[in-house]
Amino acid sequence: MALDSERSKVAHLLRRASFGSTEAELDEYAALGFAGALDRLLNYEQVDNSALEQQLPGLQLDFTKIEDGKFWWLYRMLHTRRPLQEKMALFWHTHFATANSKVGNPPLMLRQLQLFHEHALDSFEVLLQKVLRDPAMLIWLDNRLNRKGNPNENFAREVMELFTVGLGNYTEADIKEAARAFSGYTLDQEKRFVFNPRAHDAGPKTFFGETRNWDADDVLAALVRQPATARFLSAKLFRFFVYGSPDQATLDRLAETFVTSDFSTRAVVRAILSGPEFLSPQAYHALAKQPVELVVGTLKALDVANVGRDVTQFARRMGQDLLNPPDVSGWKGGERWINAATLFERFNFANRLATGRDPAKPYFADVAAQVQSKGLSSAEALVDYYTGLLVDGDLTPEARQALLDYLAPDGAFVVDERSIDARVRGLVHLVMALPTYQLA
Amino acid sequence: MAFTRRDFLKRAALLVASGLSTPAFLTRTAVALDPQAAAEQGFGVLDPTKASNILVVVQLSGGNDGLNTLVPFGDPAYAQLRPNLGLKPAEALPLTDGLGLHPNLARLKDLYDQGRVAIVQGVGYPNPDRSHFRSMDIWHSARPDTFERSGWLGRYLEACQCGQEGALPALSVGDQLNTLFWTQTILVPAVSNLGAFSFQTDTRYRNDRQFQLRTLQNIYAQTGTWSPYEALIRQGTLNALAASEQLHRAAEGYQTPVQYPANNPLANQLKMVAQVLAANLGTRLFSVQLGGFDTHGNQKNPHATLMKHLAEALDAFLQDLANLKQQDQVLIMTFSEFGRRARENGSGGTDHGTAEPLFVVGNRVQGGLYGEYPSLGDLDRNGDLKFKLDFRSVYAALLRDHLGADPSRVLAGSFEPVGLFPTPG
Repeated sequence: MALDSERSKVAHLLRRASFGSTEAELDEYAALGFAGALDRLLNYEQVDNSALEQQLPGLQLDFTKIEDGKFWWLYRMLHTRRPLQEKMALFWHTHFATANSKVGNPPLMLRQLQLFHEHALDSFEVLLQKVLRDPAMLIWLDNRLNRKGNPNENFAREVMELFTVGLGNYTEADIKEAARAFSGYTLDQEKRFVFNPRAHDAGPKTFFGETRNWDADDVLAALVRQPATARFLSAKLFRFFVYGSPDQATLDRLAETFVTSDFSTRAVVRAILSGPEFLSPQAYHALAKQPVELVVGTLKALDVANVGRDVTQFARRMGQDLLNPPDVSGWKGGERWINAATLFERFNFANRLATGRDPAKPYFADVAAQVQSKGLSSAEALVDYYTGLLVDGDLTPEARQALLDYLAPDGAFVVDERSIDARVRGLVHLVMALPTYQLA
Repeated sequence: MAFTRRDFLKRAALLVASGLSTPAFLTRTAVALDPQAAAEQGFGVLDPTKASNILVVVQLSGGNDGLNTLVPFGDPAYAQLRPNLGLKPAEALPLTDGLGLHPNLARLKDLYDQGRVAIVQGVGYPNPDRSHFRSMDIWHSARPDTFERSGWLGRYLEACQCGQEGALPALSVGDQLNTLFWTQTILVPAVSNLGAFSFQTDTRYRNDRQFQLRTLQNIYAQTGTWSPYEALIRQGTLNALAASEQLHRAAEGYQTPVQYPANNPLANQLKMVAQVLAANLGTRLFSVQLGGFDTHGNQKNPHATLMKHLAEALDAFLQDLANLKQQDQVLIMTFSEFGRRARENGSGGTDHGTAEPLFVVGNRVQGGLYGEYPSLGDLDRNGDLKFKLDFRSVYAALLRDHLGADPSRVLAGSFEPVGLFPTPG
């Protein structure tokens, strides 16, 4: 419990750098120890993921439909052997938040997602250059319409405010000049990226106080090299993986890593996950689970094999509609995941799984088999097993007693087919409704 | 020792009796439950004649193009700034010789002609921020000068002692809490679907529901020192459990003869507000939102659709209010985080701008035009409109003359309320 064992540390790592784990996955990673598990997650190119890639075509998805695209992604999160790559794709999707609600082109949304997969831990500068040229982004922030003499400021503003230096580190004049530099980066008739020199404003521009013939990659290079970017991105990654309030010394260290590694995301993520903060008490259960983390993690923990095509809808109702973030700043996240409506959605999803009794139907959870294989034969054993599995044993003695009282209101509890069906399923639901189950 | 089921039930009953399962927005506003403590803290006392007034805030997210909402067609500069996007004088629905509404605001124009719409022109704030997120925060917090997290209506809830009347003083419609309700002490429920707003349990064992609910209450009502997230989850859950019973009944009891427009996201949300109003839960503040106003490119058709959604949804909602006999208590205020650049861009759209008009709609308001249209001949150096009226003067009017609160308790500084109402006070 509470990061005092190697297994608890690895479980913590898998909540953050993956999407939770099945018991078997936790065994597998725990056998490597924390350092070994971290290495395997970071160096994901060395992990064979071909089983997943071979399964995916069998799903017969229609990628012209956005719902199929969302399912494809969630299925990857559930079954990948390279979970940190998938987690970083989610980070970039939140960072360069692009929504199909405006793009209206599911294949282009998936192409952008592929970009995030390919460059998940790559140089930030390289990724930024690709993002500028990404067709979905060119539609989403209107840069395809940005022409010499008729600038469109949308991309220029957001690339500074949200993607690199952050609010307060540029002027309105910088936006206007950067927009000129981005002009002519557009799409052809087939919605492929094209640079149109006739639409590009090649005249001198004054950007960050320097007058010269800035082109788009010059502007991006200058932005990546601003000290504000190193801090902005390091802080955002830290908050994604560790906790909400990194101190100055931590941020300085990470920003330094970002700069000295030639803007390597992998270097910064490694520094974050292997840093002293990550395993500190302050980090334990210190983040609210994102909806997809809750959904995927629950399916894993309960070993749910049969997942319905509507699985992404659970996350949507909890506030996270994949490939459709609310706006270019992405999901606000953190405490904004938590409100009356989304809490009920979380609890009701748990109830759906806890009461999934038909093996032929999606969301079947084989609670009886779990109880039997673990040899759980008393109320205490049941409560301790499920609170260990689902909340790492992080609950108050009073909450534990309340769960025991639920299971055995008369003081006695006999584990049999009937009581498993009537009460243990209820227990599983209640454990997933604990406050700490909402935390990562 | 072993507990019997009777002990268990008794203990649960005791918890209820001792107030441990009191809805969290009540316990966390303990100061509001105690008038003396409230007085000592200097909270303004609610004007009792306005204690049942209701405010619905309609947030137009993305930055609404004010120039194509309230159209200055009489100004030759308008046609010059908007050669492609501009509406022709014959298209606008005229309010004066030179000013008219977007043609798709016809329903709103009818309401205006009935004296039920106040249009406040040129609303903004000093040193406008053109970031969606910062400017929205500013409208929510009503504090352009600081990075204040609490929202203006959240601070109103703290000041007005609303918590003691009903279990549900405010409702944020949608799956995210609107931050205009945020405070440290009160967590307003965000609800996107009344039908789904309940704690579901195993339908095979219906009796089990009460035991699950009591176990949950038992766990969540425990007092202790929690991490910020856990505290929030605990409060949110108690809050949700308390509100869900009432809201569920509201959903079941509501019927309306009013035909809300189909495929109109705003209409669906306003219908939900009407459902809650019909249940008379004492809910006085609501927020709803319509998105899609960030029209950088090819703005014409999408903006026209949004105008139609806005006008038709408001019209249906007002009809429903009359049907509910609540038309004299409810006011609706629209706002957006900013207006848009005066000159259209080269993409058939408009970039982020500044001042905008807003609407205050309802029977209580004195209909008409308020304030002054920003001059198209006197733009700022960014090419944006100069605001004529601080948005906090609109808030001050709603706080004082509609919600019955001392605006200075909610707004930092003193802002002259706009005289939107027919009789003083």
